[in-house]
Amino acid sequence: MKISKQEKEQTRRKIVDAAVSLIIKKGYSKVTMRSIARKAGIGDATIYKYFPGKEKLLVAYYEICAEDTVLALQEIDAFEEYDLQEKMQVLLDTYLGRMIADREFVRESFTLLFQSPMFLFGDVNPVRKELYSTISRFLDEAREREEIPGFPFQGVLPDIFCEYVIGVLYFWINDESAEFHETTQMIDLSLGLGMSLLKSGIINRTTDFLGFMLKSQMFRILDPNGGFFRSASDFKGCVR
Amino acid sequence: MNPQKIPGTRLKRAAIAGVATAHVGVKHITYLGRKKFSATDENSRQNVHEKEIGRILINAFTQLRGTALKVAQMMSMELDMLPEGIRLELAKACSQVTPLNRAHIRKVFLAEFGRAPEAMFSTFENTAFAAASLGQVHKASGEAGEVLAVKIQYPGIARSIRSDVQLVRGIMKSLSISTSFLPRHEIVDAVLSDIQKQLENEVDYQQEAGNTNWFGEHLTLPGIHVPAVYRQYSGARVLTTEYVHGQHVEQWLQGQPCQAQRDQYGQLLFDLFCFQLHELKVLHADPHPGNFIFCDDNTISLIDFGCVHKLTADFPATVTRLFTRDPVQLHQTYIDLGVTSPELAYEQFEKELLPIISELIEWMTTPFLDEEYDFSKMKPVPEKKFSQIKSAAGFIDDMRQDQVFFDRTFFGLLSMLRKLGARISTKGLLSAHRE
Ligand SMILES: Nc1ncnc2c1ncn2[C@@H]1O[C@H](COP(=O)(O)OP(=O)(O)O)[C@@H](O)[C@H]1O
Ligand SMILES: [Mg+2]
Repeated sequence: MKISKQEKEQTRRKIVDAAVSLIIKKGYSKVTMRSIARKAGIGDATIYKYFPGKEKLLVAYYEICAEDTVLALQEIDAFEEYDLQEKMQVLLDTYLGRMIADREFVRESFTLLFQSPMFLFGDVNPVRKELYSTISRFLDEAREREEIPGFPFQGVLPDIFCEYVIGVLYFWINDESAEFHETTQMIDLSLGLGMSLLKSGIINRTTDFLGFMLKSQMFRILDPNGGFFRSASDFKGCVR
Repeated sequence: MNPQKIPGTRLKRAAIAGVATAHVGVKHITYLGRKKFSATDENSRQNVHEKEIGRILINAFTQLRGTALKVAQMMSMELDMLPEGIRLELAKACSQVTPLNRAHIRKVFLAEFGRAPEAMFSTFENTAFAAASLGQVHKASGEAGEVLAVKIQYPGIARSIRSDVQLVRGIMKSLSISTSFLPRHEIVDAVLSDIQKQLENEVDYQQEAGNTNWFGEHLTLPGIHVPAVYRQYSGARVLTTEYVHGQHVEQWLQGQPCQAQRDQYGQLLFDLFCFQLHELKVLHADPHPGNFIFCDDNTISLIDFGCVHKLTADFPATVTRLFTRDPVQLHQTYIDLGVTSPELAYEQFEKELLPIISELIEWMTTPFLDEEYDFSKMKPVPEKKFSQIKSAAGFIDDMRQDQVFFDRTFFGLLSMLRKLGARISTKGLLSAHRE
């Protein structure tokens, strides 16, 4: 029996859905591949044809959300007229919006995935895999329209933006503010800052240094309990 | 704000404060465009220092944009509370608040209606035509071709008010420890609580929609128009009303209208105030000039019902008794209004309070001595006593809310009438202990 690509994709999504709801209910460590298969209504052996292990299921979840995001962006009227900051904002809103119902899952899986060796050593990056080309296109369009200047090493920019998306994700899962308004503010501030840096043209050779720094510091900088917002919460008198 | 400058006994102190505020609405005196105290050499050094503090504040606020900046802005307007240098810095920063872009607008619409603006309206202009205090206003057209004004709130702002006010409070507190240029923190605290309350009202567009409809129905004064609300395009963060064509007062004056036109609009504004005070007993209490749109057909459209106040039934008749030069009536009215304690004997009032406030009373009653008044002749608020009043202003915590809103609205009105240089009949304010 030959299954179509479409059917295969449907099954892939069904399995991931099943995994997400089980993990939300029981926690990652208590969920087995077998129980996921049962919940998804497929055979024990079949599931391994799709996913060699639980970790890969996590990866797939982030991929699927990113795929859906890219599709949703295509539906927006006159999206190509948006400027770079607006595009990035919508991308982030859509990506986070896609995950909002599964936020408990995202909280649990985030650290497992993004602090796993397979991510840290650069073998697997679901965000980069799905969003890199979209973000590259945003950047190209912005350069064509002379919103931002071109410069040597500009090739690292899409990577920095992908890292940034992951950073925002991390901020968001730690954001306990009502309606995630702190995430909204943080995105505005950081994108605003990033755009003015890009527009000012002061980054050229420093870019790769910046990229390195971002990569290593991102989580710390964006940690609502740690860097970026710490001075602010000091004022608020928050004891955390 | 040196506490030593505040006069003697507590009773007297509170009395001065209450009376002064009842008369000049210290809080809202900025509406009158009072001239600034001129900087002498001696205090220009202080000015530099204030600027420095201003900059520190800005840096702190801009870390969190959102309402924090708005709060700072309101604080610099409320009271003449912050020193000049600090206010200037704040004003600069406040004009730089990020506008909502297409992505923000999308986000708000999806959250409110589950649809993007282009799916809701037959046309929607992406560029705002006016700024609102916590968002901005866009032009659109509805399915039936109606021209609409769509006020959109910055996403998340409603939820961040409390924490942002906290933030500003924290900053002010830590600064007031290290500098003597800021008001005492009890004063700051009181003002901030006020601001928080006002903001919380202002962000509730559903409440504003209700208020707008109420005024639309009850404000039956000929010549005054209240735009209709479009419920199907409105929500908690989006308020859509009928777009009105017209100009704000400054713009209108640039067209050099003749005296008769200025008189006509001035009279309409004055009648509008009296109608609210005596007939509705409810005030549209945000007298910002942007909220009055002068339309071509000699009418005024009143917009922005984010801040309205229902007066106590007996307040209008009582407060108008303040417009007198008779000290006995004044003394009694202060007591009735609760701005001075009944323990304040008339003799003490006459000896200690009256000299301080007499100039103000003269100023305030002038437009109402005759049945008509030419507001181009109205002088600015007398300045001499101002510092004394200002230092006392911190002691009024139990001012009647009615009084506060009355002051705000009334001084907004006077400011507009002065700007217009209107010659109008002023008897409507006092002749209204009719019935
Ligand atoms: N219905 C309308 N028709 C025309 N202009 C409007 C309308 N509503 C708002 N505006 C414009 O938008 C500005 C801000 O709107 P407003 O409701 O006063 O907001 P805010 O409550 O923030 O003060 C107004 O000063 C006015 O210029
Ligand atoms: Mg307004």
